[in-house]
Amino acid sequence: MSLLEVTDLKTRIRLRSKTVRAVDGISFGVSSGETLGLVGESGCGKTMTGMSIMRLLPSGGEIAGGRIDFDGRDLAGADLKTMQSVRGDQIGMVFQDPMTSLNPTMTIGKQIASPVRLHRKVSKQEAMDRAGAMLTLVGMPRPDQRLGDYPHQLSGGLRQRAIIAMALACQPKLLIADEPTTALDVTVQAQILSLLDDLKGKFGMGMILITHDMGVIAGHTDRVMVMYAGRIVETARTEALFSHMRHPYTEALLASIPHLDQDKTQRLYSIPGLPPDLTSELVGCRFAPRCAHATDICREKEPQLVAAGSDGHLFACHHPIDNSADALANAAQATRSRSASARGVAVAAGRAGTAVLGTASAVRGRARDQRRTGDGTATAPGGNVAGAGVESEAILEFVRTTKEFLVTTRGFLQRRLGVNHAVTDVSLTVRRGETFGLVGESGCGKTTLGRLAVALETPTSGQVLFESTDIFALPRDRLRTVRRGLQIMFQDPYSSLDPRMQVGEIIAEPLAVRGDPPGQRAALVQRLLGEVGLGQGAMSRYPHEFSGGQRQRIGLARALALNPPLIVADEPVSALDVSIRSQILNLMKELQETHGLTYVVISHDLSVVRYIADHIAVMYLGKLVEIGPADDVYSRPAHPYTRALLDAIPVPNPQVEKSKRSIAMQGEMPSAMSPPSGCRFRTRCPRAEERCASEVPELVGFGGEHRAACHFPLEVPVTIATGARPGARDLGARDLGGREWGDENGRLETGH
Amino acid sequence: MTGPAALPLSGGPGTGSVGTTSTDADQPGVGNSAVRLILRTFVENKLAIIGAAVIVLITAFCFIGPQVYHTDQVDPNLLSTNLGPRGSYLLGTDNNGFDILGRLMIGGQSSIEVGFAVAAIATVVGILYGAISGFFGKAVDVVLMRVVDVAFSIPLVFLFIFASRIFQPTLGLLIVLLGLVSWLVPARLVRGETLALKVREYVQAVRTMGGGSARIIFRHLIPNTMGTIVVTATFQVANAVLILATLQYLGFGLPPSEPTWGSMIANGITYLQDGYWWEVYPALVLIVLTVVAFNFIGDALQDSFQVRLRQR
Ligand SMILES: Nc1ncnc2c1ncn2[C@@H]1O[C@H](COP(=O)(O)OP(=O)(O)OP(=O)(O)O)[C@@H](O)[C@H]1O
Ligand code: SF4
Ligand code: SF4
Ligand SMILES: [Mg+2]
Repeated sequence: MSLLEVTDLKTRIRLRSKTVRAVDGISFGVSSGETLGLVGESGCGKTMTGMSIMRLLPSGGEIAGGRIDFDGRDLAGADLKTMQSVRGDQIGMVFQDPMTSLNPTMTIGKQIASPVRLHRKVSKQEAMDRAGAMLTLVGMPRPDQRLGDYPHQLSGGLRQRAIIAMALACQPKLLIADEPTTALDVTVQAQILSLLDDLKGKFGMGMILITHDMGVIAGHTDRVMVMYAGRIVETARTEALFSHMRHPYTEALLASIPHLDQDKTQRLYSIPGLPPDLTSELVGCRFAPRCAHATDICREKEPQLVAAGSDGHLFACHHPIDNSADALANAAQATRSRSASARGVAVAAGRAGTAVLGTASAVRGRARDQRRTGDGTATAPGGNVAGAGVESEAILEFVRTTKEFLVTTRGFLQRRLGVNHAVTDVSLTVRRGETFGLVGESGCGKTTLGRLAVALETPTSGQVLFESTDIFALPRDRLRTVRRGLQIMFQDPYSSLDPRMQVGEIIAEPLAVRGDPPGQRAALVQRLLGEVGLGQGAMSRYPHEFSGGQRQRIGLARALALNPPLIVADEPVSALDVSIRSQILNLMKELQETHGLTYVVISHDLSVVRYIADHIAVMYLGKLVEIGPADDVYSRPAHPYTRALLDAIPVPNPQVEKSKRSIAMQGEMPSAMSPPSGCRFRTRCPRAEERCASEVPELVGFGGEHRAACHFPLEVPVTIATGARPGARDLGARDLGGREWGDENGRLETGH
Repeated sequence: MTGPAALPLSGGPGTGSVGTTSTDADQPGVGNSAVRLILRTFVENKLAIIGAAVIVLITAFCFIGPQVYHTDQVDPNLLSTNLGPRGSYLLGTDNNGFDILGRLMIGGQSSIEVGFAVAAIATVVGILYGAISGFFGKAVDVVLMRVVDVAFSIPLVFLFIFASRIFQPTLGLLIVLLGLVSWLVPARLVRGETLALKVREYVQAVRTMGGGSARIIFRHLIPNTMGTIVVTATFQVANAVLILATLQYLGFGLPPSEPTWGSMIANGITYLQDGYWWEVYPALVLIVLTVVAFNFIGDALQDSFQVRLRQR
C-alpha cells in the first residue's frame, strides 16, 4: 500500500453560473521515496489535484467524489481539524511564486518555526533552532543571520529555499511541489531541483512534482502522470514514458518544445487549438479536436485507461502510437548523439514525413523555410561563421551603451541609496533581416537593453544607433517619427493590452497616432488580424476575452501596424504554454519573412533563442560576456557562464538529464548595485583566479564574429584578424569539443 | 499566409480557454461584456436596487412633487404657525406657517442639485489633477500632492464662515466652495491608480508608437480608473448632501428665503421641546435616506468592479 492512494477523485469549482470540472475522476498513488511528476498544459487540473489533496480549494471548490487515502486516512472526507493537523505536518507544500508565498511582515525564522510550534509541542527557542537547522539543510548561506531577515531581503532563489525549509520543517511524509522553479532562472532552477531530490532522499518522503516542463520531468521524477482536461491520459515510469509513449498528447507535448539541436529551418510542431472549456459537457476523447489521429470513435466514446505492457504503464487512447520499434532506435540514437533530445525531433520529423501528424501546412512550411538558409546571416550547420558570407547592413547598433538607474528612497526628500548598473558598456550590432537573441538570467540587464533599443529608456552614456542615426540625439518630434520604426512586443499578455479598448482599436492605435484617416485604418487592421491568425470577429472584442497566446498575437499585430523594420520581442513566449509557444514562434518566423523584419528576441529560455536567433548575445550583470553566431556560441561556448547556462537547461531525455553529475553553477547573481570588481562573473565562476578580480576582461575573438570576455576561456581565442575563415585548428577544436552534456572534459582545452 | 491561419485558432476565443483562470471566460459575446458583467453584478445586489429606487423616488418627490402638491413657500402665513399634521397640511407647518411637506420638496431640490454638481466638479477636477500628478511624477507629483496635503488641512467650517462673511451665499457659491474641498479625495485616488497604471506595458506601447502624454492620459489612464471614479463620484454626492445639511444647520449657507433640509432642521430644532417633531424628523429622515442610498449604490458599484477584476 503506497503512502498516498487517490481513487477516482473528482473536484469541482462552482462559479457564478457554471461549474468547472477541474479534476474529473483520476486515480494514482505515490509511495514513500518516490517522485511522481504531474505534467500537462495550463488549466488541465494539475494545481487543483494538489490542492484537492491538501483540501485547499479556492472558494466554490469542493471534492465531488472519490477517495484520497493518505497514511491510513481518507482525506477527501476528513474534517477541518484533521486537515489542519495533516497540513504542514504530514504533507508539505511548495508553491510556484516565491514572492507571494511568504508573509512579507514576518521574519523568515518565525515563518519556518511556526509550523513546528503548531504541530510539535516545543518551546519558541526549540522551534527557532529547528528553523535554523532547516535553513542549513536547504543550503541557505549564513543561515543564522537569515533567520532574522524579512522575505524582501532575499532573492527569488533564496526565498524558494526558505519556503522549502518551511514546508519540510516538520518532516512531512509527502511533499507537493507545484511548479517550484517556474519563476526562477535555469541555473537556480537546477539548484532547487537537486536540493529537492536530495531532501527527498534524506527524509524518505514521497513527492508530487507539478510542472509543465518535460525537461524537469525527465530529470527529477520516477513516474509521470500526463493530464489533459482534468483526466489522466497517460502514466508510466519516467524512462518508459519517454521511450515508449503511447498517447498522442504526450507525444505532441514533447514535440512542441524547441530543442537545443532543433533544425532551425523547420517549423516547430505545435498542437493546434486550445484545451477544452471544462465547464461544458465533454463527450468522447477530450483531445479529439486537436488530435491528428482522431476518428469518429474518438469523438463518440471516451477512451478508458488501459495497460500498456507491464510496470503500470497506462494510457487512454483509441488509436495509440505504436512506436516501440522506432522508439528503441531513437533511444539508442539519443544516447549515441551528444545531442540530448533527438527523440522529439525524430518523432516530429518522422510524422511529417509519413504525413500522419504533419499537416499540409507544416510540410509547406518546411519547404518554404529551406529558403532561409540562403540568407546572409543564417548559418550552416556546423557553425560556419556567417561573417564570412554576404553581410547585410547594420540596422541597430549599441555603441558603448551604459544605463545606470539611480536608486533613491521614496518620498519627498529622495535620499540616494546607490546606483544600479543595469547595462555597462555594451557594444553590439544587429543586422537587417536577422534575428538577434539576447539571453541571460533575470536581472542581467537584457530587458533594459531592449528598452534602450526602442527608446523607452535613455542611456546614461554611449549611443544607440538606428539605421545609423543616434536616436537620442534627435529632437523630440523627430524621435517620435523615427521610433515608429522600432516596435516592441511585450512579455505579459495580460498587461500589454489596454483592457478598456476593443481589439480593433488597440491595433489601430499606432495608425491613429500616425494620423491615418479612420477609413484606412479598418482595412489595415483587418489585414493584420488575418496575418496573425485571428478572425475578423476579434475586432470588436475586448482583450479579456482572449487566451494568452491570442493576446500575444494581438500584441504582434499592433507592433506590425506601423510596418517597422525592427521589432524587439521581450520574452515573447515565456508566459505561454509550450504548445502555444511554438505557435507564436512559428508565426514570428513567418512574419519575419513576409515583412522583412529584424527581431531582437530577449529571453531567458536558451532553447527558444537557439531556435529563433541567428546571432546571440549573452549578458551577465549588465555586461556582454559572449556574442556570436548562434550555432557557434551554442556548440562552442567560450565563456564559463554561457557554458553553465547551457548545462543547466533541463533536457527532455531521462538518460541525459539524470546523468548530469553536478549542478552547473552555484550561487546566484550578485546585486547590480555593487557588482564584483574585475570580471563580474568571478563570484560564481569555477575557473576564477586572482587576475579575474583585478582586471576587467575584454571581448576577444574566437573565430569569425564569435567573441567572449574571459581571461581563461573554454575555447582557444583567435588573436589574428577575424573575419577570415577560422583555420583547421579551429575546426579540430570543435570536433574534440563534441562532448556529452555536463561532461567536465569539455572544459579542458583552454588558453591558459 | 500559410501557417497559423490554417490553425483552428482563428475561430476566436470561443473554442475554449487557456490561461490561468479563464475557464470562466465569457462566452464569445457581442458588445461590451465587461460592462454587462458589472451591470449584472450590480443588479444582483438588492441593496443597490433599493438605493437606486430611493434616489429616483426622492428626486421625483423634490422636482415633480411641487407640481402636484401646491404650497406657498414665499409668504409666511402667521395665522397657521406650528400646526401639526392634518388634512390641509399633510406634515404640518413650521414657525412661519410654511407647509412642511411642500418645503421639504423645495429644500430637497437644492440638496440634490448641490450634491450632483459638487460630485461632478470634484470628480472632473480630481481626475485631471490626480492623473497629471501621477503620470508626470517626480517634481510635478511632489508639488501637486503637497498642495493637496495643505488643502486637506484647511478646516471646512472656517472656510465657510470666512466665505459667508465676504460673499452673499448663493447656490452657485456653495457649489464652488464645496467643490473646492471635495476634489481632494478623488485626486488622491486617481493619482494612486495612475501610478500603478502608467508602468503597464500598454502605456509603454503608446510611447513606442510615438504617442504623446495627452493620448496616454485621456485614452488609457483615465478610462482605466473609471471604476474608482464612478465609485467615488457616488460617495461624493452623499458627502456633499451631508456637508450642505451640516452647514445649513450651523447657519452658514443660503439665506432663509431659500430653504434646505439642513436649515429646516435648524429651524425646527428649537421647537422640538414643544413636541413639534414634524418640523425636524421628516427632513432628517430625507437626509439620512439620501445619504444611505448613495452609499448603497457606491458599495455595490465597488463590488461589481471587483468582480470584474476577479473574473478577468
Ligand atoms: N479559483 C478558481 N476559480 C475558478 N476556476 C478555477 C480556479 N482555479 C482554477 N480554476 C480552473 O480549474 C481548472 C484546473 O486548473 P488548475 O489550476 O488545476 O490547472 P493547472 O494544470 O495547474 O494549470 P497551470 O499550468 O496554469 O498552473 C482550470 O480550468 C482553471 O481555470
Ligand atoms: S482517443 Fe482518438 S482523439 Fe483521443 S488521443 Fe487517441 S487518437 Fe487522439
Ligand atoms: S574572467 Fe575569470 S572569473 Fe570571469 S569568466 Fe573568465 S575565468 Fe571566470
Ligand atoms: Mg498550476
